[in-house]
Amino acid sequence: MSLPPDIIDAILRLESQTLVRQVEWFPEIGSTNDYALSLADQSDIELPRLIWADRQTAGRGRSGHAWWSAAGALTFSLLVDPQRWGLRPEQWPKVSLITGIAIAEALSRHVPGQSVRVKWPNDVYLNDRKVCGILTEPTPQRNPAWLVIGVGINVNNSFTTAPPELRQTATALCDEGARDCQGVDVLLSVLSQWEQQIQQLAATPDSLQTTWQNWCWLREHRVRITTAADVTEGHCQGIDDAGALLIETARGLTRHYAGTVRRLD
Amino acid sequence: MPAITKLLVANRSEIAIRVCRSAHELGMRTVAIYTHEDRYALHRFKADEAYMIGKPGEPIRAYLDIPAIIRIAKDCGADGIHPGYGFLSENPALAQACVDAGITFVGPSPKILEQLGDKITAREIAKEAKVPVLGGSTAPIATEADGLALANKLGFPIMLKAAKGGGGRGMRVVKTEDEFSDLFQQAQRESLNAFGSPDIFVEKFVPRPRHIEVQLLGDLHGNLVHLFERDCSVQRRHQKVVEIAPAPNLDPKIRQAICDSAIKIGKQVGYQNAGTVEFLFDTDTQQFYFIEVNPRIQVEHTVTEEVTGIDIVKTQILIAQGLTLDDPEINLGNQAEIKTNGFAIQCRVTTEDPANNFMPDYGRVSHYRSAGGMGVRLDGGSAFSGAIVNPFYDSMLVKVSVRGRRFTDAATRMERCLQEFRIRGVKTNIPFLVKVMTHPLFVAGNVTTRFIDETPELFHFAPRKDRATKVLTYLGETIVNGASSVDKALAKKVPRTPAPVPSVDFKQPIPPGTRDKLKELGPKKFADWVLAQKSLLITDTTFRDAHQSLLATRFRTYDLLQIADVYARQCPQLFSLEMWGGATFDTSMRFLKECPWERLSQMREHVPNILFQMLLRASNAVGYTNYPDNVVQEFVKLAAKAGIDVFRVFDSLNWAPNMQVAMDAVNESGAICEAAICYSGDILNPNRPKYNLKYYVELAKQLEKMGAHILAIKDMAGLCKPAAAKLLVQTLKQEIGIPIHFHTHDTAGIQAASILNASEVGLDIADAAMAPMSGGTSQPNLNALAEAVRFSDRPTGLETEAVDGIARYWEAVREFYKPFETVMLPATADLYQHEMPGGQYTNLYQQAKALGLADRWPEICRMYADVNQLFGDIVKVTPSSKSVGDMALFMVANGLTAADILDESRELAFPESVLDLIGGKMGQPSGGFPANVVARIMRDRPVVTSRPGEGLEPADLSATANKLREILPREPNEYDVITHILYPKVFEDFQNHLKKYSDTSGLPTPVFFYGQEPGEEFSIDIEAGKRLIVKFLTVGDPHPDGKRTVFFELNGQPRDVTVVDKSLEPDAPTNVKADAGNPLHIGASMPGMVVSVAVQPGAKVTKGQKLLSLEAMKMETNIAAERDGRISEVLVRPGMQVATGDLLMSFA
Repeated sequence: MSLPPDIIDAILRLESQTLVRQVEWFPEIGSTNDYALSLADQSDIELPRLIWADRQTAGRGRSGHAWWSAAGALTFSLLVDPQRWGLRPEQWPKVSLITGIAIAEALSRHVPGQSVRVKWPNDVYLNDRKVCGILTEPTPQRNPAWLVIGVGINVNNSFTTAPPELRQTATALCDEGARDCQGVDVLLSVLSQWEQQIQQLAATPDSLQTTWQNWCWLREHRVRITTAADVTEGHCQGIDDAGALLIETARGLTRHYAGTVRRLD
Repeated sequence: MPAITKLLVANRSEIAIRVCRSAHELGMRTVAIYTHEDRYALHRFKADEAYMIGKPGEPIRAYLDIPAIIRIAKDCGADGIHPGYGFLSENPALAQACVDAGITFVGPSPKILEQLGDKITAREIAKEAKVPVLGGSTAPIATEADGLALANKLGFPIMLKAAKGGGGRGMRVVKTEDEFSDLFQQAQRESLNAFGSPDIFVEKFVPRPRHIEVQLLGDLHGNLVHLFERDCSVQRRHQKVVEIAPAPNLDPKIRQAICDSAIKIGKQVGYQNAGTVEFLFDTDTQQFYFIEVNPRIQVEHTVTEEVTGIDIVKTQILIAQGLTLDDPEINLGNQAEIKTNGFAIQCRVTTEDPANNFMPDYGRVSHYRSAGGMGVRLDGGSAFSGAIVNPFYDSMLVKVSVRGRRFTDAATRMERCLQEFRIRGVKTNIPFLVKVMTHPLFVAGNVTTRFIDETPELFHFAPRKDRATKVLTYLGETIVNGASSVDKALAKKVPRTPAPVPSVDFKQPIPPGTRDKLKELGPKKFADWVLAQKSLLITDTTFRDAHQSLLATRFRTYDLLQIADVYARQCPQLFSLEMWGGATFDTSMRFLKECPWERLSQMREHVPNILFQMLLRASNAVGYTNYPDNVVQEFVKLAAKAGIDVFRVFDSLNWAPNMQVAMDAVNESGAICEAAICYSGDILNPNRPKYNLKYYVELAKQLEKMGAHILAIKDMAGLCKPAAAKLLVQTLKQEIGIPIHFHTHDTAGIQAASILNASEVGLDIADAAMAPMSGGTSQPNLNALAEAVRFSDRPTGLETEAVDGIARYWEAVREFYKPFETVMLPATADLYQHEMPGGQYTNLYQQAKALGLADRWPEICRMYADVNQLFGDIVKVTPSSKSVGDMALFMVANGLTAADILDESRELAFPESVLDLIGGKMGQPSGGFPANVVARIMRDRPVVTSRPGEGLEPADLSATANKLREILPREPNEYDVITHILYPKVFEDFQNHLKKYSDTSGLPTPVFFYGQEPGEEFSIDIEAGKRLIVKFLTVGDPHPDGKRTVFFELNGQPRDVTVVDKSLEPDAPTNVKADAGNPLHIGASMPGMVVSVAVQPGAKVTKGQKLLSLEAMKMETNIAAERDGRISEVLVRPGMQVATGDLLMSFA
């Protein structure tokens, strides 16, 4: 298939300037994560591999709304072998967290002066609205597994025509003052930051807790975390050394590995 | 337009129900849509058909899904869609989708929606209609400079508003020119953030505006009428709180002008269906200005319906079907015929807690009872008993609309209505609404939009600190958490009915008793009087030693006071009531949270005629350690002042010099000094020469010389056998000239015989306890004793009926204390070996049990006797008995013998109480402690051989008073000071209890300890003339922050308190760890929450089969079997959190 020239240019930059060994680009695909997961069946593929699509028709982790896959969104999946950094399975959940930090770092450079934060466990918020979602999945057919890190960032898919309820909760870079932002530029800075973050995670796993404090959108706020089993409410105290969310409640400090969090104030 | 046969409501809650009601009345079938989160909501069940929309986890998005809505409509054959308000009601896309699908949209056309959706376009339309528009920019401000120029032209103050804005955001008031630049930039940023556009326009700012809006109804044929206006000035942060129709105190000419303007605007766009035109009315200039049009039905439409009698929703549906306004079904052909009648007010009852910054509460509405009556209209969301208020949607329970002839009538009706609601289980904003309804400014009908935000008293919901609230808090906490360390099963069995009190004739004067005699004669002559009495005088110990022995000193002042009047009137023959001191001083504060001094003074009020007696541990006062002399003196002085007549003074080692200070203090106070010899050993046993008859006689003589008015024989362990009692009393009667008072414990079961024997040889006074509180480690049976001697030559003088009636009372009272009953250990002859005092017998057993040594009890008893010998055969009573007991446990627990103790080479850390005793801090036993034992135990520590109190620094009473000034809310008195010196921590904890819960001593005993049963009611007088009748209703479901709300009725009014539920523990991760080397163990390779468990114990699995899935940070991992096998154990379940390495399952 012949690729548009600007895409060819982008791929060359990605393969030479970042940790990615190979890029696969699609004008349209069902889900980059699904495709990346299927690659795990192959034994001789060069990693890390980047699956990058202009549009997704069946993207998972969209939180159910269409703007993620609208034209202008940056959607990609990164397929990596965690062994490369010596990461044991118990540290894999933290990969989601450091991906958020990496993206937050990268986006800050594109919208300087705006408020960029991470919302536990895998969202990035820009001026108090969601601008990025992350979905990390281990490849089930390999043991030890590879990791697929799926990312969706609202870059140029503007929300100005979205319903008001949606505009309250989500936003895009272009709506927050980022001028002439190209998807590939964001991708390059994200990958660069991500490489630094994963190396830091491997070298000093304890530093995540502190780094997270600086980016945490929930810390010191009243939050409510809901799972299928129960609901807990209290003041967020950041994360613990395993990456679990800490909430100070009337019963004491509770830790949570899973659940949907809402900020109450 | 075709008729609608089936109407789908693309909305939820209250408005969905509202629409379905009118649709039903029009003969249409109704269709509701609901999300997964809304599946229990009422609107689903109010429609004829209901279909789920969206997937779980999309509570809002699903209602915005236009294609899904259209699909559902098509599938079920709905030919009409009503959008309600909010959601998609102003979205041209839905209206257009309906048009495209051939479904009738109940609302204006897509074109009108587009025109009126943009604020700036709407203003243009208004201007074209020649309706005043608030002075301002006609286009977004291009540059800050332009904005400033315009602002100057309009004149400050001005308002900066977001062009695409709403909901109160993107607005800034600029009062002066120098503020303009900063605020303009802020407004632009906020507008960009909230609405995606930096477009700001400038508007004249109206300082005191009223929000007036006009209801329009237009058909599809160009006809348009208005239904007059509504006043929505009562807003909080630009959100409407209360709406009124029509606007009170509005000049009729202005009303007409506003309504006419609304019509003009409506006609300008050819408005169809229902809509509202909003205006700002400047109360200063009496000018009104157009703001915007809401092209839909509004939340507050109800007040217009109430005053006009017109069903707006029904009209909407009829209009959508093509009927003209003058159609008889609609009947709005003539504007002149539309009139308003009276006033209507609407309030939204929500679960927002005004005392907590209007945070929405959620949970289950455990009880819901709504108001009603004339002129009341309720439009409810899911508001019924058992409804779940969930966090995904707004918190509105019900819209209350009331009607009244005048505005004030409507306001008072609304207040009445709000007070009538009974909503339990969730908080509501009703208290806030009531404050608004009753505020003079509101009632006068003269409020502007600044009213709420500028009236701080509306928000004054400081937590009530009054006594009633404090008592309710105590009750709530006790109900939810129970009393700590109380056996809940036993607590449930405690009866709730009050104990029967014999009736008393209060008109009769209280007969004179021993106290009157003491006042008449003074202590010395009173003692002579005692000697002269023929009858055997009795001291009732039920008020102190009996319950100290049997119920861990738990009797509460409340139960003592109920029977006190009966004692005063029916038992004036008693020598004394032993009712203070011993362990009661400490226990009353520590466990019962009541003041011991209050117990004394309240008892004294009811019993002025009988002597009150207390047990004083000489230099230990009512504590466990030796105190400085001035403390003992001060304490005795205050106790006598507060009402103690007889002080039984003893020393735990029978060391007379250690009793001098206390005895002198008693004598100085004018009270009776009853010095006690503690009975130990056996005067009948020649092999126990240490404590022989001679020992006791000499001690008694010494005490008489020291100033005792009465001699007490304190047989704390119940060792004084009947023959010994006879011998001892007989001998003492010959050797001393003061009355003798015998105190024993009936552990052996034969002590009544000791009393009878002693009485025969002249015993003056005996201690006994009322029958239901007698026997075992308590005193012998008073009732039986009184009967036994009734016809002898030494009767007691007590009347059978009187003491038996009192006994029935105590029998019932003892039931309240069931959970505090101690294990009754059988007393065998070994009692005479170990000599444990009655009170210690069960306490030491509890101590042993706590150390896991209960099964070695006989060994411990033997060891106790051994320790006694090791220490030189000492008197064992509080506190010396505690040291012996601690040592016995220490030795049994560590497998030590006496020889081991004396073995120099062994390093042993002795219990603190043993160091105190052997070190001489409690005084010296007769003959001192064995020197080798002292040397061995104390090593180089300092040893005291003189009177301990001598060497202690006098306590600084005024320094303590100063310290207390900081802690107490009032000026500390002398009682506070002495109490703090004796028990600093217990006193402070008690004061904290009073601060938090106020005085709980007036609560009936079962309520105090165990909390009320649902529906149980009791009354308590918190002040003279201030009685609280408290009924406990129910406890709410737990909140996610671990608290629960407890609902009461206080004097008939609903009250609630919120308390922490200590039993709600978060799921702790399973802490059984997998053994990494064990191939049968399946451990967690990472931390997370168990999402699903795929296999059961016993299941056969193959390699690679999924066993369970874990989720951490939204990463879901499947744990698969690493080999074939059969699962034997599954330790986890969905929802549990696990840490890395936790054992999840195991293979067989």
